[in-house]
Parts: sequence; C-alpha cells; structure tokens
Amino acid sequence: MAFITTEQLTYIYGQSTPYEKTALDHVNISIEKGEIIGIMGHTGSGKSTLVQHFNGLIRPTSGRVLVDGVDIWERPKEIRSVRFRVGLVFQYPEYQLFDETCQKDIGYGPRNMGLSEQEIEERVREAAERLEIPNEILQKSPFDLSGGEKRRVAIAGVLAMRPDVLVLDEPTAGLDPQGRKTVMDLIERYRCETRAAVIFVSHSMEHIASIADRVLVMNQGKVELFDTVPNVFSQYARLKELGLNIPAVTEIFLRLKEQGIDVGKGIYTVDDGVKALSQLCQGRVHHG
Amino acid sequence: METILSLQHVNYSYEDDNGELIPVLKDFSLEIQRGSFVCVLGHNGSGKSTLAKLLNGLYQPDQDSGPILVDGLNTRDEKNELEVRRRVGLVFQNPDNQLVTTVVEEEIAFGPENLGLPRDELQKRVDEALLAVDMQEYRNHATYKLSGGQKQRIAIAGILAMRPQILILDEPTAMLDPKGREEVLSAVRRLNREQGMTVILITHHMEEAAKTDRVIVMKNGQITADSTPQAVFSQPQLIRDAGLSLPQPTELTHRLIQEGFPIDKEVLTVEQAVAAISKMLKEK
Repeated sequence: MAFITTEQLTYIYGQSTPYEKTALDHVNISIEKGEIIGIMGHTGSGKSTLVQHFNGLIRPTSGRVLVDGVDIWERPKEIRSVRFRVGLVFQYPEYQLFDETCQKDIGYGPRNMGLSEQEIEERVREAAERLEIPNEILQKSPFDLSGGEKRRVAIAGVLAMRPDVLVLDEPTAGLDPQGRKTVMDLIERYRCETRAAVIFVSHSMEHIASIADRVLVMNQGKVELFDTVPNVFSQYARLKELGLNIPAVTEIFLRLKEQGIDVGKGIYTVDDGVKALSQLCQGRVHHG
Repeated sequence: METILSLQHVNYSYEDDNGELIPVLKDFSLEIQRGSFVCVLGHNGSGKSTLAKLLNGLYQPDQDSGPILVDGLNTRDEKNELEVRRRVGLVFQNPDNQLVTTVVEEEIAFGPENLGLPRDELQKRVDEALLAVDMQEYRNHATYKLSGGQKQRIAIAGILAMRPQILILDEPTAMLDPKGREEVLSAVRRLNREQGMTVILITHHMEEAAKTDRVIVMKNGQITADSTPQAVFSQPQLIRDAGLSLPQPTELTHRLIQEGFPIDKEVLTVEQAVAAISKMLKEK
C-alpha cells in the first residue's frame, strides 16, 4: 500500500492578494515504502512547496496529504507526530544548526520525541555513523565545522528520528564531489537498511539517474511526469523544453544512435555505457 | 601575455575561537594572464573562496606573506583598496543575498551611482551591462520575480557596470537549475571571448571546468595541478586525491580504457565522447 499519497493537493501562496500564485495545482501522487524518488523541475516549479507538504509544514489550500493511509490534517494538533515519521532535510540545512555541540544538535529531534537519554544517545551514535561523523566532531560546536561537515551533521539530526520517510531538498547543492557522493551513498544505504521511502529533490540528472526508482518531474505546480528512470529520461525533447536535461552519458549514446551506432537503450550511468559497449564489441567479434 | 594577477609566496591564516592560528594558504604562488578563463577546483575547505576574497582585498594576507598584485596594485596598500575592489568584481553563490534593490535597472545602477557618475554615463553603463548578460528586456522588471539564473545574471551585470578588469565567480551556479546554469555560463563565456574579460570561475561542477582555458586544482591550501582541462582530467588519480570527480564523458572514456578499449583519453565533453567512440568503433 502507498505510504504517502496526495489527493488533488493544491496550494496557493498569498491567496486573495495581488501576489496570489498557485504553487501546486491538483497534484496526485503516491509513494511506496522502500522507494527512492527523485524530484526535478525548474526553479519555481513547486518542488520545495510539494515536499514541505509531506510532513505537514505547509497546510494544503485544498486537497489532502495521507501518510500511512491517514489524512495528516485530520487532527491538526497532532501534526508534530507526522514530523517525526516524515523527516525533512531543508535546502542548506546547515543554516539551522543552533546547539552548543553537534551531539546535542543531532539529539534535538529525538529529545522532542520524548525518548529516554539512553535511547537519544543510541540514536545520535547511529545517525553519526551513517553520516561518517567522527566522535571528535560530535563534541565540537557546529559553528566550528566546514560547510560539508555541517551539512552532514544537519542531515544526521533528521536521521536520528529514524523517519519512515526521509525527504531531502537539494541535499548536494554546494557540496564538493566527495561530499555529494557521501550523501548519495547515504540515501541508498538508508533505504536498504530501513526500507524507508526516500524522496530527494535535485538538479543533477546524473544523481537522479543513478539511484532513483522513479522520477517526479514538476512543471508550473503540476505533475509533468512521474515514471521510471528509463521512461522519464527517454523523453529528451520534453525535458529540454522544461529547462531540464538528461545525464551526459545518456546524451552521448543518444547522439551515437543518431549517427547510426545503436548500442541499445537504457543507458543512464557510466556503468550502463561501459557494459553496452562491451556487449556490442563482443557481439561484433562473434558475428564478424 | 600580460600578467593581470600575481600572488608571490602568499600566506593566509585565521584565528579560531581558541585563539589558535589556522593556516589556509601556505606559500601560495600563482599568476593569471589578462583575458584568460581560469577555473579553480578543490574540495570544500581547500581555500578557493579565501583566494577569491584575497584577490579583491576583502581579506588581507598574513604579515609574513609575499605580495598580491592586482593589475600592478598591491592589495596591502591602503590607498589601493577602492581601486582593487573596482577592478576585481566578485559574484557569489546565492543570488538572493546579492541583490539590494527591487527593480533590475536600479540594481545595475547601484554600484556606479555610488561613484557619482553623470546620468548619461550611468545610463550607458546600465545598457551595456544588460546587453552583456542578455537581459535587456528585463530592464523594468522586479528583481524578486526573476528566476535564479536571471537573478545571477543581474548580479553579474551589476558588477560589470563597475567596469572591472577581472570577474571572479564563486560557485555561481550551485543553486541554479540546469537552464539557469547554462544561461549564466554562456553569459560568462561570452564576456570572456567577446570582451576579453579575465574570468576566474570557482566551481564544484567538473563539466563547467571542462570548458575553460586553464584548470587549477587546490587541495588543503596548495595547488596540486595547474594545466589545460585536457591535461588535468587525464589524471584520474590526481583528481580523486583532491576529492574531486571527472566530468561524466571523461569518466566513461577512462572506464573504457581500463576495460581495454583503444579509445582517445583526452575526452571532456559529450561531443568529444561521441566522436571518440564512433572513431573507435570504425577502426575496430
């Protein structure tokens, strides 16, 4: 059964003012546990507004958000409990670090959940391990860390709540390649080990192609496409029109095909490309 | 070619909360030629942004440091301060933090207005700057309504209106979508090619580095590579050691070489990869 569902989800900013803007327009999607969903779309397409509905940070203008079959706004006073189950990592989350030490900052969520000190400590340790945060950093002030370290501490703070759904809004923006890899590896591992759903917003087609099961393409507040990686990235022309792109390696093989060199479809990662070319060349030896 | 920026044995360190000196740049030397398009790569904390801020005098090097010369002006000399800032324009990551007014035209005029220029000169500079970033139609638009790529181009235009000699961009595309990123990069490339603007691009995106003249790799405050993009990216080990990655087309050809394919290793772009693979398959 779907774990997160939106029904006719609509959100209007500044309703009945001159600045009125429909940010989400009748969005209907559902996401299962254990899925990795990549969300892409141009700036202002509604990606961030959408993900902020998943944990009840924004209340829909109309329509519903269901988590585990229950309308999260049925009992508005209990909305906090939804935030423990659906963990949201904002864009540039490191700006929200505030506590004296990283240990305390990561433990902030679990403490709000009313867990015992022992349980909090255990969860902080586990989250820090997942993000490869060494012990000496845990004792430091978050303000003494580098940008990449701060980002990992901020993500650990959400993981420490052990959410059933992990939502990350552009988690790799501004990180160096090593930092990007750490975050991408984390997403895959968290899904594997906990069977949680992971939803991440990204402008990197390469990242989405490499780990997503399905891709949600937003355009002007509407769902433009919501399908598997092959079914989305095969629509090159449409993505270009939307100001998006396809992974560089996919483009390489698409252009080769235009030149009459057909190595087969479905090349979204470097691994796919190497494999396809190896098969093509072996085939040639056998037949030639 | 003429040297426009020069750092000779520069040291820079800062004091942390415990009063300890943390070195960022150590014995750092670099020369940059007028009209070149240089890319600086490096892991988070490698000293890239410190370098940018030293170059326009926002930061001052340590007491024991060698000189930093901008167009012949020593940045340490107090009387050069304003002139150095005017000659070296700095564009940062977040466009929202850089815009100060509400209308595009006013935004671009903000800097030169403070120079006390006559009205027609001001107008001329605004026109030229808008044209340079291809934003003429947006002259009277509200800045807050623009897309990220448009905002970033307005930030660049605001710098251009000050007529700088050198444009330094510190991760200008980190917050942009693919279209916005391409808009900004093509505007910068055009400035370099058509107006001979010296450009230093600091980035974490390897494919952006692939399209520059010279790539400088920084690691822990030192330069570990300084060459053409072809030469730098043909050394995967060096790139990995610096905490970086290869552009995807380059990664593909390197992997193919490892698998024993006879393919050209100096591939950086999609176009070059297509040509190299089709050449390899024809020769087989």
